[in-house]
Amino acid sequence: MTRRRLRLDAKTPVLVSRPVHSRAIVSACCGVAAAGGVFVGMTLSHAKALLPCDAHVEAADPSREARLLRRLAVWATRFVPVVAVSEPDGLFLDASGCERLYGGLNPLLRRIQRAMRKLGFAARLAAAPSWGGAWALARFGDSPCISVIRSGLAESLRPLPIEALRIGNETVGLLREVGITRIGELMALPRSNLAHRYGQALLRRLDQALGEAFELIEPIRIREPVYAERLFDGPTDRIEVIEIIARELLEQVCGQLAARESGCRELYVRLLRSDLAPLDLTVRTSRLSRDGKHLWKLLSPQLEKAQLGFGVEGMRVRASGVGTIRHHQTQCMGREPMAPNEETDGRASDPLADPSVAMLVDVLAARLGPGGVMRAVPLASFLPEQAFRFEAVQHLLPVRINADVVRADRPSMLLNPPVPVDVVLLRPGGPITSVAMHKRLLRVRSCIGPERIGAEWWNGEDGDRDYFKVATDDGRWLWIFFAVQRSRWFLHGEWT
Amino acid sequence: MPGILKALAERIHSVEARSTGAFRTVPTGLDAIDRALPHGGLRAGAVHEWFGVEGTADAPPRASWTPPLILLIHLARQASRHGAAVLWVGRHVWPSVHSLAENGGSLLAASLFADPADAGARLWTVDAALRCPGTVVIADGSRMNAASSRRLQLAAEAGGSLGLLARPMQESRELSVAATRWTVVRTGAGGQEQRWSICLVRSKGVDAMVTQERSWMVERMSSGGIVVVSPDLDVRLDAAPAAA
Repeated sequence: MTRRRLRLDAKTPVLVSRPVHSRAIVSACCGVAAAGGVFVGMTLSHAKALLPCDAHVEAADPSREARLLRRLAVWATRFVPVVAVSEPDGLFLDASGCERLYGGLNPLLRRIQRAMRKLGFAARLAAAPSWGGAWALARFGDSPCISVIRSGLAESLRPLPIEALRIGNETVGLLREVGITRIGELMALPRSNLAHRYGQALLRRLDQALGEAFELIEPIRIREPVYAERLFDGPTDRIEVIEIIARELLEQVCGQLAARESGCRELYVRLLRSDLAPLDLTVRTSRLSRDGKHLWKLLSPQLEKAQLGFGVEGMRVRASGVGTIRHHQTQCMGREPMAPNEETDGRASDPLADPSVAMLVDVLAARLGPGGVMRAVPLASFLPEQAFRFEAVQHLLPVRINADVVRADRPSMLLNPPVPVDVVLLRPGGPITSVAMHKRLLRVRSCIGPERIGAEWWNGEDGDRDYFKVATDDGRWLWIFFAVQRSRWFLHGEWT
Repeated sequence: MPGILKALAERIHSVEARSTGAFRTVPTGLDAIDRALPHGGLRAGAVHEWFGVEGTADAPPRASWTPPLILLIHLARQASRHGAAVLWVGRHVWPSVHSLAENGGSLLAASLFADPADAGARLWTVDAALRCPGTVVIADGSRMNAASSRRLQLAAEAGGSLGLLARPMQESRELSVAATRWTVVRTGAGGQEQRWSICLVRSKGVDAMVTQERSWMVERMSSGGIVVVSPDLDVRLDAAPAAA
């Protein structure tokens, strides 16, 4: 996969390393590297020294690998219906009853192997009557693609090392101390002694490998996409028809969401145009929604502006970002329910939790653009213009008020950027006596300050500021600062 | 007789009110002003216009118009106590985040900001927001004519929301259907206090005889709230509600 993604040639070795006690250890390697003598567990410097050319080294990322394995499991459902993930690097496929569709187990294995190779994975496959047996044969068997029936399972497992039983390193060490290295040697020993010396877990793993003990797997659950489609008999450019179909498809999607007790945050609408590439429209909501009217209100302006070309042949609507919206009872014996519902509770704690506010945000964002509705997020800074950030409302989650918001007296209106002004001082560095604004000289009747706000030197800024709270003779209260390094005066805000 | 009229007005209001939001009236938090208003505060499902802030000296140029943000923040804070979301429309009326974060930051958490590109989009935004039940919309109302005023009033009635429009003093002679109209003027006299003189120019449903007092002097406290002060005696009349 890495080789294909980075377009490396076939001869470049690829290594995956992970840090262990401040040393870089090879956690995986490709076939080229393995042919050069590299094996999992050796140090990275040692591996590089063994290889004749420069190797591409990737840092191990367990969470990314887990996500990839999960995606691979979803992909594998095209062969069998039940697939489970075997951490960290394996998949269990339940092929019971499916092999006949492929002409037997071996053709099925070969087919999976070919498909995996096309994806860029060198997979080892094994088919066995037990999960434990298949696990052992896939990892420690001689052949990269092997199928074993029940009568031959025990014989196939005998030559495998005891690590193939999925037992802990401690037990492996204990068994190796007494010279037991193969599963066959373990099977020859009396079971009662094994249980007494090494615990029941060893026997359970042995029985699971031999198919004599029950073992559960947890299959992945694939949620069907929320999707509705309509293909027309022929292309149409009548907007009324397209709107009716769009509303019907929206209702279908909302019905599917309601049946799943869920809502969506994004809605993708694709118009299949007869002479042009498909046109994709996207509707985003700030909260989970399955309200057909609301979604239509967001979609219809986009649909009106859509370029239909010579006509539309079909339409697809797909919901994304699906999450749970709990059903709540609207009526009880013909009356309103006694208990307050979630919406009422949410309103008291967070005003923005109200569904009508979420709908308003969506409507405004659809008309004014994604940044049409914003909220202010406080940041930890003493500089007034950097003490907050306006960000577009994506999801109406409560704002975290930073405890470090400056509690000092600040003006109600802040000018950003500050406006240069001219002032007259009583004495250098002293109180301000008049301010020139809008071509008028305003006399100052009160001047409070200075309040020094230091530059945030750790952010690479320089320039301290001395702020003055100034009352002019026409009743204004201005916030003026002197930029010490620049030797200039600025108006930064006003109490208005 | 005034008592009967007041009771009758209350009954008509309760019949006509279609407010589906969390509040029907937002008290200003200033008892002296609330007593002069027909429902004890600013009525939801209506638009209220605030003209100013204007200086006491000669009229400054239009570019220097500043909305009465401290008063609007105070009213927004009063409304947010009822669980209302606050939408500030138009960058000209966006207050500083520091002033919203005062008193625990609940107003900041309830605030949303929109800055439409032109006057048409601004009118549409305010209209759409007023139709959302239980919200407070504080908007730049400059360059809005009587038709716009009618449209916004209908939207507020439909949604039961509270609309506060900040407008320049020069537009105070424009026709409007707003429920109340206020002017805010800076007071040049005084010492260290930040004071404004506010005047109730019009209030629907109130006979001029019912309320005698229509002009008040308000002062900003260091904690961020505002109080009504006597212009003559310089004595604070009702500090308790605003300080809460």
